[in-house]
Amino acid sequence: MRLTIKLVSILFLFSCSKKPELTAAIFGHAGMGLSMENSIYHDNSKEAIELCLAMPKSDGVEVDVQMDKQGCIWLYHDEFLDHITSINGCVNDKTTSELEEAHYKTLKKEKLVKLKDIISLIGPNQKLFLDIKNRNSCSNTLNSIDLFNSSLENVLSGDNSNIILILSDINWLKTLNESYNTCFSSDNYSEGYNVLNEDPKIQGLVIRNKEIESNQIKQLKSIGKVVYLYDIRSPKGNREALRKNPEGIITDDIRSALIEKY
Amino acid sequence: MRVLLFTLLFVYNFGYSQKLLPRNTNLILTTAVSKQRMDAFWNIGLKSRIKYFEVGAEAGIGIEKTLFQNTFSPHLEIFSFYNLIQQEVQRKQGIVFGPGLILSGTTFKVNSRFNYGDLFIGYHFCLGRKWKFFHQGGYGIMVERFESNQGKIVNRAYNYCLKLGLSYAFNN
Repeated sequence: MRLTIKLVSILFLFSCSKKPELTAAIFGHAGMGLSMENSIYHDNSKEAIELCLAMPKSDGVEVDVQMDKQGCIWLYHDEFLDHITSINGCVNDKTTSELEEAHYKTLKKEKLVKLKDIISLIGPNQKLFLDIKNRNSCSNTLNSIDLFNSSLENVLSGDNSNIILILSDINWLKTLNESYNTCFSSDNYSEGYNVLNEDPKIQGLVIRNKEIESNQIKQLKSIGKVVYLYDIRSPKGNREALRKNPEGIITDDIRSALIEKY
Repeated sequence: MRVLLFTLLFVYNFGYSQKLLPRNTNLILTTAVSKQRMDAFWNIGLKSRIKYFEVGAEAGIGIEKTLFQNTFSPHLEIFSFYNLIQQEVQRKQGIVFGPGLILSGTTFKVNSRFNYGDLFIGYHFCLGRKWKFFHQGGYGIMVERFESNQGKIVNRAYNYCLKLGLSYAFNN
């Protein structure tokens, strides 16, 4: 009897719990994550994006885009170039040739990359999210939407069904959702719900993982919208985000997200 | 200059005022936790001291992937250190310090098999006699390999290794 109890206890301890079915797509945040220890390359670099897209069963990548003085669209996350790159100032105040010479201050010295140079890397079943930064932090002004729109048209000529623009500026959102798939970015669920409810053309909401619960995701799904979660930096965060069952997660740790899902 | 003078004086006293630890070959059982760029590891292993050299091997698991993500991630490590300092400092205490090389490898499978190889240049420090507390540190290169639908992907990057452990010497 004692032996049976011991055996059952051991079996119970080592039994496998059934993994819940996780359907959310997995996207790399700025390539392989922002300021992640296990990210080999700098965020928004071509190398990081290539690696993210090469990860087995990666569903795509999110990148941050800013426009330079001449209207060329570059991948860059921060407000300022200082300290992180070999030049100072803001992307919006630099010429294309100045940015072509710039590189990140890392061991690998990855160069800044233009949006047009990564479009061809996206696989047929993968998506590209463009998080559009429309403010010039050096002059504290908004960039010209007409110049940005025409620059984007030049880069994204052709089938744009696998490209989704992420915007937090309502005016830019309303202009750009005439031609592109768009998502509203907000850290406030109520604000996000109201904006999405008012405009049928906006596909969905991009929101921090900790700012939304699974019942709120269900609520947005019920009005035909999709939800993408970001600010996910650990295996535990990936697990929590995947279990909320959004359309996708934009994770800083894509390796651990793939382990959690598959 | 004063710091240098003080250090040299300290090293001088340290080296010649204490008895040397026995330098015979012995077998040492080790257990340690270490942190590298991609994961933290728990290892058990054996090492041996032959005169001024210590060589050893450890096997273990990646803690995050194996214990928290249910994905088995075995880890192997071999190392060799040259004991620059090998002294008895108190009646039953000894310290060992020296530079060396650490070679390690890890693997796990998620859709494809991911393999990691690392080579570190580092140091080790041990305190104790039969039971020893030890610490290893190293800095070096890491190679990541996996198969994707785009073919074989190979990435090289820097890596570090910080290890804390406990060891037991059998015939010391």
